[in-house]
Amino acid sequence: MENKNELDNFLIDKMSVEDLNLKVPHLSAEARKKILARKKASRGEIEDFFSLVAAFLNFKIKLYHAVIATVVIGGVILFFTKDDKSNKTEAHVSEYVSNIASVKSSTVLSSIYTFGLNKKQTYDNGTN
Amino acid sequence: MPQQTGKYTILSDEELMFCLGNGEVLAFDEIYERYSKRLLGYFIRMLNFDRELAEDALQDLFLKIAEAPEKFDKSRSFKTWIFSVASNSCKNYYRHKKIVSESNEEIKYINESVNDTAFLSTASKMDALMFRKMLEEILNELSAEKKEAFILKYQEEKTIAEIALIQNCPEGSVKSRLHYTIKVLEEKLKIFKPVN
Repeated sequence: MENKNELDNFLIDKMSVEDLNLKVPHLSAEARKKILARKKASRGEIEDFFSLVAAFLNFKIKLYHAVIATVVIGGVILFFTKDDKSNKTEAHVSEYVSNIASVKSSTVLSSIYTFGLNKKQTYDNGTN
Repeated sequence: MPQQTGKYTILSDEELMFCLGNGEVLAFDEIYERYSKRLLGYFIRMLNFDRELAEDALQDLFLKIAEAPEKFDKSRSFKTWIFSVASNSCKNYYRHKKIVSESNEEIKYINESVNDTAFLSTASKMDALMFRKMLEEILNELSAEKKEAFILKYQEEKTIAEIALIQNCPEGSVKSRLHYTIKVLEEKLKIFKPVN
């Protein structure tokens, strides 16, 4: 067992990387660019107006963005068109009701009736 | 030379990979600093001491990490994972360049034990440079799996279990690969053994 460990240590020593006299090359610029490209603009990083504008300009529109936007806009338009239509009907009904009420409450009708009664009384008196 | 900051030197490999995912170049520099030399040594030995090819392999490996750090399997240790990636890179090089032909001689020494005492007494008497040269020659003749097991065990000081994980094979296979290589070394050493 002891010899086994000694053998292992001997081979570890002979296989040392230091003995290879390695000169490690510099990290390629390409690799560094790729990492920088990964840098995400998180919320905390958008500090001023210009970075906000830059983040907006950097936004890439995808197909599903367009589809979702179309559905939402279509829904909103439909909702308001329907609402407007029902408002118009309600306005017509209330106008009609108020017209009837004004006619009913009008003194013209009652005065016509009173005028008719007076005429009839005058006529009755004349004939008698 | 890559810039170094205290912040990154105290982080674990796994934490550095997380920073790398957020585009922190200095985290990448630190990983490069920690592993580039060891990986270059690994590639040089794996690729038959072709330094140019080894440097290309090293750059390719780090470029892959830079491109997709999310590929790092968080359930594994970074040390094991990076050598698995390096191992796969070597397999690709072997496939494309046909660097060495596969030999299937594992069964040759399967029942023969290594005489550690005789091995050590002969090897330690040998000139260090000559021993290294002999070791290089033997490594160049080995199949990729045996060579890799030997490099991981004696250069990287990895355990049998770690090597099995990197090579994606049972621990028994790793043991027999290592045993075979040491037996080959022992056979070669017999040439230098003084005859009694």
